Amino acid sequence: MSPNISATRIAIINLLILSLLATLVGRLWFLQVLSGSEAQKLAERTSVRTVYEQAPRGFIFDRDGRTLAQNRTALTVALDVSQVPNSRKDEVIGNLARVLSMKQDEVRNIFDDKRLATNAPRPIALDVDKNVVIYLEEHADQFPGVTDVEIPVREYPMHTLASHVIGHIGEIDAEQLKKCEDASNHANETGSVRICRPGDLVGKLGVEKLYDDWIAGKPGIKQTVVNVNGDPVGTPTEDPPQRGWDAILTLDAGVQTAAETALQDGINFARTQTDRDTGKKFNAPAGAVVAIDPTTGDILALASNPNFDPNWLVGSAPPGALAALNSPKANMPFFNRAISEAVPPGSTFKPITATASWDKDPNLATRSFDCPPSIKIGDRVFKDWQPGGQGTLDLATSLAQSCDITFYNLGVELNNKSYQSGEHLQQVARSFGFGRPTDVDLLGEAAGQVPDAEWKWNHFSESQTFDRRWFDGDAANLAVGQGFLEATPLQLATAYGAIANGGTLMRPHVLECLAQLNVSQATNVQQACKNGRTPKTAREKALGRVNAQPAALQYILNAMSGTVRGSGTAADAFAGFPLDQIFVAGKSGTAQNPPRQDSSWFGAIAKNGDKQIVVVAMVEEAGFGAQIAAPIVRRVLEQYYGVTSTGFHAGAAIKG
Amino acid sequence: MSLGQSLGVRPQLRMRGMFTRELDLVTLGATAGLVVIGLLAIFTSTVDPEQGTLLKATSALFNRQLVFLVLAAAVLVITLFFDYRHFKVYATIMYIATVVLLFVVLTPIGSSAQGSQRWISLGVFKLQPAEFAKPVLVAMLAAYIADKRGYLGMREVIGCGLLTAPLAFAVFIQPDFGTMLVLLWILLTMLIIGGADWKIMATLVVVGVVGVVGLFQTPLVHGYQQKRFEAFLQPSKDPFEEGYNYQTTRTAVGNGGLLGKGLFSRKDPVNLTAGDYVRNQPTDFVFTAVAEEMGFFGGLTLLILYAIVFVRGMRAAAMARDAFGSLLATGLVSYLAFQVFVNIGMTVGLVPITGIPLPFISYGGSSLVVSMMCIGLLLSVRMRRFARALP
Repeated sequence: MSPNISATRIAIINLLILSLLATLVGRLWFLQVLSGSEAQKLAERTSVRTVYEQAPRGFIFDRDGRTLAQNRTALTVALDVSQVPNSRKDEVIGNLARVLSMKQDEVRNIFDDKRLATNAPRPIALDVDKNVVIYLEEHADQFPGVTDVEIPVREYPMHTLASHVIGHIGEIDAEQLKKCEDASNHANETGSVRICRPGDLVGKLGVEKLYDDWIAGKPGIKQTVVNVNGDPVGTPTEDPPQRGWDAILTLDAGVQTAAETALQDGINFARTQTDRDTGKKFNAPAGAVVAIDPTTGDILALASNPNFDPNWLVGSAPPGALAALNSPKANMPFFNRAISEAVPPGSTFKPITATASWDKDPNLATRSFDCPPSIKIGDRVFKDWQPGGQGTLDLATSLAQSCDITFYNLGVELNNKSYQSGEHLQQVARSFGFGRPTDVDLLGEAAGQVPDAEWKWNHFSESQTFDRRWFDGDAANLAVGQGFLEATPLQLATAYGAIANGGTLMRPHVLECLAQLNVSQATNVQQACKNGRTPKTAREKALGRVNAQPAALQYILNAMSGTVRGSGTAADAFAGFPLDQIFVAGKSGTAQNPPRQDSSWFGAIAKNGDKQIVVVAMVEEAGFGAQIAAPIVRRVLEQYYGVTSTGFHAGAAIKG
Repeated sequence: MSLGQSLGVRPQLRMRGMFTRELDLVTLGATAGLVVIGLLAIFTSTVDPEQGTLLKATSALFNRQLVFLVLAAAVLVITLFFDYRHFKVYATIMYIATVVLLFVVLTPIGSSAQGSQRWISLGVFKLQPAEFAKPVLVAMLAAYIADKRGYLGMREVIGCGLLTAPLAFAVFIQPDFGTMLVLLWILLTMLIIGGADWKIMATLVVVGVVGVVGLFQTPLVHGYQQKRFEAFLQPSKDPFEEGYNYQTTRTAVGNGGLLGKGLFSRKDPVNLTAGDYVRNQPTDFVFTAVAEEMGFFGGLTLLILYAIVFVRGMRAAAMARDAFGSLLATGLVSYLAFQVFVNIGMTVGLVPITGIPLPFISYGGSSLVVSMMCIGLLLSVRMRRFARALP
């Protein structure tokens, strides 16, 4: 070696070079081995084009296989923005807007929608004329990236019928998307993993929402490896879309139609009547009807008025459509009054008071009650609905004629601290399902409210002027379904169901089963359900036994049958109904809910052999239960039992 | 001068003996390995994977690189036969010629690509003088320092700096920032080996770093270079331009994993190399093809082959019969190693992106010829360690 060159310095350079190479090895180990899987995911995102194909949603049928929701195919113009060169973007937007008769901004908004996949076609316009598609194909050079596809579009053939139960679909929102993504690693109750993407149409209300995981199906996924120019490399893998499960409801479209028609008729009639308290016409802005099978909890009809046509909301809903449906001016058509509106049920609550009193006084059935025009409780005067009073009555007549005084007195008796701490009526009411949701498989259910001393004390804690103590007067009000008691029509129907079936509180439900029919008409629903599935939320389920003696229930059921005959409040409303063939027990209610006008309530239990039904009707600010709600209920019973109907006929204007 | 004289041995018998005994087959073998990996990488990054069977598939770039390889191999053999010590004499002439060529590039005679004026068109192929500037600077500095008898004072260090300056300036205004860095690196290592005082070296490094950083503050540095530097610091900020390169190259490297995606993308279609996602893949980012398709083990093999060549080269430097030989070998090895580090380093996100090719692997005639010439010189230095003094 040359004596002028230092071996140490050569070694230093050698070491320096080797350490540079070692640095690279370390870096490669980190990139390729330690964080290789991340890079592999990124590489897949970069080079794999995934095109989703919307799955057809399952249909929705009523209990007899009548179609409530289905799909049709819509000829759609779609655009793959990755195929449009930047320089031609404005030109293509202009051309599309011209041919599709859209505003340029509308097309541009879809074009620039960052949430949609950039390399898959995005729908521009639904239901395009065939001639437009032919034009687009003939002038393909002016429309790079434009294709036409047939996509399934939701359709509700019965329009407004049962709209609150069926619900509607709409574009997935951020919250739903997040929920779906959070669950993307495990299967849901349908047994498969839900796949969601921005822009998906998903259930937004009713059955469409609650059972969306079942009904939505599984989108088809086509994956193609593409090169940097977007040209496919190799053979694509294809996973075809799977149609969603069909939902078979417990609803009976016939009963539902009768309920909705009668409800509308009742509302229309009420608006022609003058309220004696205010001197104005009744507002009758809204109402609800619920019909359930008391033995199973099957909801046969659930109507809320005003309603809406879910077809308005499919695809690109007209701007403001949703806002209009939630607007108080239009009486909030989206609001499902049958389950979401908790208001005082009035005298329809009296049968519950009667069962509670039965426990305290074993001789209740043989007692006689004075029914004077008014009594004084504390320093307040409580009046009967009948200005002249009703003489001396037994319990059954008190129910049939809805004597308020009897029940004021029973309420005061039950408010005695020496018996069940004076809370027995509340306990019984809660056992009948009041004050808590019925757990129906619909969203937005109100809990209602059963007031007691503790509740009143806490509720008015902010109030300076109101006396927070619980008085006999409060108990009297509760006994006639007034004051602070609040219940939904569905809660009342569920409670009446327990009276009808001998004391079991059945959980109401709208879904019969989910099945895979793959036909447009479910002809044999029973067969389909045998092979189908019933999720937990829809299974027939007893919520519990009501806190009532069977003898009391039997007595009260019979007493209630007096309502629709003889001197009963609804005798006029049921005049001509074949009561000799079909057993009907009912209770009317004219509920005060100041400052609003009185609401009209009627609940009925009907039996003809095994064919049983409970029907509850409620019309807001419509006056007497016997006049408006009772004929609505009658009309539903006529439909259910096939009794020839002559339409809606208002009952006598009786307030009880 | 006869052939025997020019080989630095006694004619005939001595020469045969030298080739059989002293030719470093290990370096030759490792070089061959690198060249094979390079050809595979160029082929896979340029071939169209849709094109029928591999035997029928063609790649124009691959074919050209084969031609360059024949040329480069010839240059290696010629360099081998040529006594390296003659370079000491010719260094000055080559140096002047290179400076002239580098400035010719900047005139309208030169041709440009991607914003840089780097090539001189010679009909069939383009010459990149900057590639030759690197070994020429090594030879020039080796020749200059060899005469200083193992001590470099301030005056000699400045002399070396002045020799480097014209080349560095010429490539800087092309602009070719990467090659400038290589030239400065060559200066640095040559001064270390040449015996420069450590204090002077330290001063020089500080001045150099401050100077390079200062350059970035002047309008002399092109906007794209500043952008690249920013992209290096924050790749996600600019995902479409410079940031794209960092993102894509790192993804492609990581995608290879331990074992790689398989050569010619036949095993796994999710392959950024096959999809042409990596820009400038056969040239600047050729390492991504190696890393993605041959995996960590492929990259490791490549780096081990480099290590063999470099360690053997440094041994040649240690064994050399004269200071010029030591200096030449050290300079060549350190320059090749630096290129390897910067090129792979930019691919894996360790250093900012510069247009420095990966020796033996990147597509490009100038780079391949010069790299092979370096191998020829290293072999020549080692082979002639016992040679007679030149007349």
